Amino acid sequence: MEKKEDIGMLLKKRLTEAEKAPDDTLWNRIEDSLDKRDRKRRGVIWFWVGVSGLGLLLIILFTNGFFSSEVDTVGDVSTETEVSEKLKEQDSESLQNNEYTLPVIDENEKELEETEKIIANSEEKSTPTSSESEAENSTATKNTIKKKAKKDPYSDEKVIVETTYHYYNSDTKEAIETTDKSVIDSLMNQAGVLVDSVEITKAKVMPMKKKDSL
Amino acid sequence: MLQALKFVKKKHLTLENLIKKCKKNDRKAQSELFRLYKDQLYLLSLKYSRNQVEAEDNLHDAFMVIFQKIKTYKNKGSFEGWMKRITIYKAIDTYKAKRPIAIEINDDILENDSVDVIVNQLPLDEILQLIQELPDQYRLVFNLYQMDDYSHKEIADMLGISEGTSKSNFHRAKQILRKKIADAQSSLSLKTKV
Repeated sequence: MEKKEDIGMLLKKRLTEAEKAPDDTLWNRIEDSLDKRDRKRRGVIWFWVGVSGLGLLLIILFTNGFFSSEVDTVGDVSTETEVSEKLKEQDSESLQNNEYTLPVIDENEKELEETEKIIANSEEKSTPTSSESEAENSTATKNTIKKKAKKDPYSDEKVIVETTYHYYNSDTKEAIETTDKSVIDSLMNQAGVLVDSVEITKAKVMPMKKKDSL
Repeated sequence: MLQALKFVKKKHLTLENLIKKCKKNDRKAQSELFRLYKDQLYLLSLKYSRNQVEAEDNLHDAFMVIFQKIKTYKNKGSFEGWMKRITIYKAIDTYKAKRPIAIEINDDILENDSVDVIVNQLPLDEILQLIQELPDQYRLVFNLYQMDDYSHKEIADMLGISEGTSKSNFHRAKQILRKKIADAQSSLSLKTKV
């Protein structure tokens, strides 16, 4: 009896020894597909490069935005300087006219004017001081005026000030406040001094009394 | 003997160099690799496919995967075996994507034992045609088990079928092939008589 060989083994033997070539154009097909894939991959890479570049640019712009607020503060300082200069001019004019019509009025400036009046009225009682200290005081007064004038520089209100007169007698320690000039005149007459004869200049500013004492 | 060993060593070095260049996407190296292995892998594709056109498509897809995956190839095991596995998996993917054709199984297949003579006489193209005409799942199981030495358990995992189904598919595939070969033998004997 012949030994029957399995059909599977026979076919395997037959096919293992064989060779078969594909069509010659197959490599061209494969090459085209490879080129397509490479182009697509390059496109994806450039897309992500673009996205990351845009993201970086946004981060830089966003970061710089944090430092932009510094520019605003510099502008404020220059504006304040202009206002203080304007107020200087107005102060010098008002001293000559003895009436104040200021674009900016607040309570602190009122006190300044009143203080000047007190200094003028009590000139005879002043303690002799050296020219240097007077200069320092005048400077201090100027600075005080400047500083106080800086407040609220943008207000356009015009107000006519009602002048308040102060009288202080250092001997008797008597202090009087009045808007009536004649009261002060009479007191000064008693003391033997005429108010209008006193020249009020910044150079003759007496040592400033503290606010609390007033 | 020494000369044969030298030749083998030279071939190995050439292949290693070729693989290195293919990893860098060198088109010339890729072309050379295709030239070296196209015949082997095409025959493999013909066994697993329904026809020549499908076999060429399978070979094209297989090489696309080979050139892509070669970058991660770690030089472990046979490079040839690695390429064959990719070609087979591609054929299985194609089968899974296509709707399987329903077949009628005839139980009245007569077993003919004397087929060894005719198998040796038949041209290669006709033998391939016999295998390609098998139903898809039978063809895959027959090739995986008989031609490429996968176990029924491995075949079951790959195709998503049971081990028992794999065994019965293989048995049925052999029966169909035997009948076709017997028919081919009958037609041959008729020709010789005439």
